[in-house]
Amino acid sequence: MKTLRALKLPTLITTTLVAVGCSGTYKNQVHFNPSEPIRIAVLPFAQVDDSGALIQADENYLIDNVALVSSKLKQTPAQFVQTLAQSELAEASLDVVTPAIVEAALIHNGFGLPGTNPVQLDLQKVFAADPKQVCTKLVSCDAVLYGKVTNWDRSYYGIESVSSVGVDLKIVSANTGKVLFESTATDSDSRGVSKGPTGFSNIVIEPIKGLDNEIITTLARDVVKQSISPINRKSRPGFLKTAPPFIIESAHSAPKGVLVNGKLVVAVMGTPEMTGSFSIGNAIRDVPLVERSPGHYIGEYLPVSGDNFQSQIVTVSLQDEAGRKTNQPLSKIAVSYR
Amino acid sequence: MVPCRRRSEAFASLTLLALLTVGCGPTLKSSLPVGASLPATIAVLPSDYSVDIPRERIDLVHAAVVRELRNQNFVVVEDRVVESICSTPACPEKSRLGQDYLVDAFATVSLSSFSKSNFVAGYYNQLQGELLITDKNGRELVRVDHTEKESGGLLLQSGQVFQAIISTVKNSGDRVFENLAQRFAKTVIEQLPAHQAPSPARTTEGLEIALSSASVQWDSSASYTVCAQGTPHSFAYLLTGTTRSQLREVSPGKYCSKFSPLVTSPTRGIEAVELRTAFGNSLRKEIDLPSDPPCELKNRLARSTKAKVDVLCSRIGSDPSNEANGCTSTMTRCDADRIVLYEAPSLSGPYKKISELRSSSLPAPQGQAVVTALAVGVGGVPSQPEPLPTEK
Repeated sequence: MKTLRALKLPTLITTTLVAVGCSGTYKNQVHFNPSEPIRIAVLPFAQVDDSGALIQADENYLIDNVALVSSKLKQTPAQFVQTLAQSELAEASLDVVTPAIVEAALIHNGFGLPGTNPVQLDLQKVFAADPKQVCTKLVSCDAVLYGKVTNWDRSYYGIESVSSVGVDLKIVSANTGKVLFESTATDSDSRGVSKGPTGFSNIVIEPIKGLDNEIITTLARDVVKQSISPINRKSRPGFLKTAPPFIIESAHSAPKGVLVNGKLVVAVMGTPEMTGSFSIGNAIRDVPLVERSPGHYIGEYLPVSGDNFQSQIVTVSLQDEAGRKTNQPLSKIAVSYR
Repeated sequence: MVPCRRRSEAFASLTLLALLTVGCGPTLKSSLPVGASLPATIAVLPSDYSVDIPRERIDLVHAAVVRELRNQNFVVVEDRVVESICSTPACPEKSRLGQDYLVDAFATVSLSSFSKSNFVAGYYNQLQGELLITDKNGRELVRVDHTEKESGGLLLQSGQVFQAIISTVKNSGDRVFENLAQRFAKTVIEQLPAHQAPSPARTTEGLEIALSSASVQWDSSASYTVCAQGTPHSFAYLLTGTTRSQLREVSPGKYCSKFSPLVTSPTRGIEAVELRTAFGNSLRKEIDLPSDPPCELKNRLARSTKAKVDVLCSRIGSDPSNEANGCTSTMTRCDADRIVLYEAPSLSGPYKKISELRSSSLPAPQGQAVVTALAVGVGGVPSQPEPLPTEK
């Protein structure tokens, strides 16, 4: 019994440590339909100190380099997290305004710090900017994303090292000023005694290895991914619980490859309640298909002056709310128009 | 003996650590002159799917490379623009991208292998590929070769039991390749030399955009035209909810497309015209898509007497109650250029053409066959086909 109790205690402690080491805090609120094609300008991210004050980007805040353990990164934590957020938003199918355009617009509109070369952005001024002003006077967008790195820390405790990352994200509508999405996240990852070292040497080595940039950057990637997941189509119920769209049959009205009655009619039979479209090669893209009865879609291509294409394949597609798209090329008969 | 064993364990661990941190990096070959920078405006050429890696995975890496280039403040031409111009992955039409969209460099992402090995006590994933950047003349500027590796599990993370289990669980999902692709792209793009800042002239020409007007007009009850006027050589779309339909550039700066009224079936969300540059900068103007076609006079056929069928006109596609707009369900006699008759053994067909009359009236058909008539108005506009009851 004694042995059993002795075994149980370290197991419990270790399990608790593992659980503590891996559990983050994620809170978020979504107040818009992420399927809508809204254009988001991502403003430069900032790191905040313990009091919540913005820290102006500085060479000293580059993601540092621990000799022999990690490689040097060229970005500050705020810059790094911003690139992660931009990538995740683009992957989530939101229309992210090209970062170079946003930066150039800010620099050319008085958001730079005087006397800096290359020009650094005045983060206080950027965060104080009115979203409406950003989206009408600087770039064309529907909403603005503000991001703050609230925690970026690697701590070494001899037998344990802990990497912590905290990120706050907020998307604000330019038209209404309403917060469309808000997320607060903090998470940590540890190496050392809590992760079950297999020998005494590993108790010493693993916490040192835990200081590797790779661990904190991977943690940051996970934190940003999870923060943005509520607006990512791939994590929405429609994506997880349903099958992607399917196309049973499709046809067009040009049996000889030439338009009849000056138009091309395309019919598709497939999954009901999808968004349908068809394209004719690269020349004519995304002509809408309308669902006339459940699962039966029909669309018409009506030429305008200047349309001209030779032997192009018609491709039909159905897309679900989660963004999954199924294509079917009607490759038997290519279509021409001049 | 025990301390000796521990020393050897520590030595082995340090050696492994050193091996893990050294020798896995990407290889950069730069042909840029010393001090020269990469161009800022770049197009990523279409993916080559001829390698033995699933198309979806190649697309994931391609998309990740585009995102990372943008993250590094390169001005990247949108994929749909590149796809609309390039006929093959090598893109023999590159000069058009250079002329129309001021592209100065071209990036090609080539993957050579991907492997995912899961064994009882560990896993090992590897993605190998290359990023090549050439200038407008096809001269190689930079080439980055990289193999992104990821390993874990009890055997390869032997120092940390729980971490090994956690990483093994994470490796079991479908996101393995996605993570590997993102890391591959990030590592490769970080190796690139600094790029030039986009010049103000380029910024003005290539990135700024103007959308002066957007309009919707009915052509007939069967179609309407949506047009937008703005910056030439851009890309215009009609946005209806989540659907994005292309408008074509019919003359410099004028973009139009005809749509069937079918498209105006109830849409949820935005109805707007969007103009985008090749680099993704965009402007929108909201429009109201019409829900009812305008009142239009159209030929109809109707029996006027027992023995005769006349061509009549009615305003179809209209709300008859909206008489203020001239909409009425009243039928009046009107002219037809010709009447075409089709006959079939039953309503479901098959139909064959039996005669064509140049008249505004015709004798009522006799016999058992189903006769359908089509009145063709002046200008060749046909009426709705009307089944004609036969005289018995």
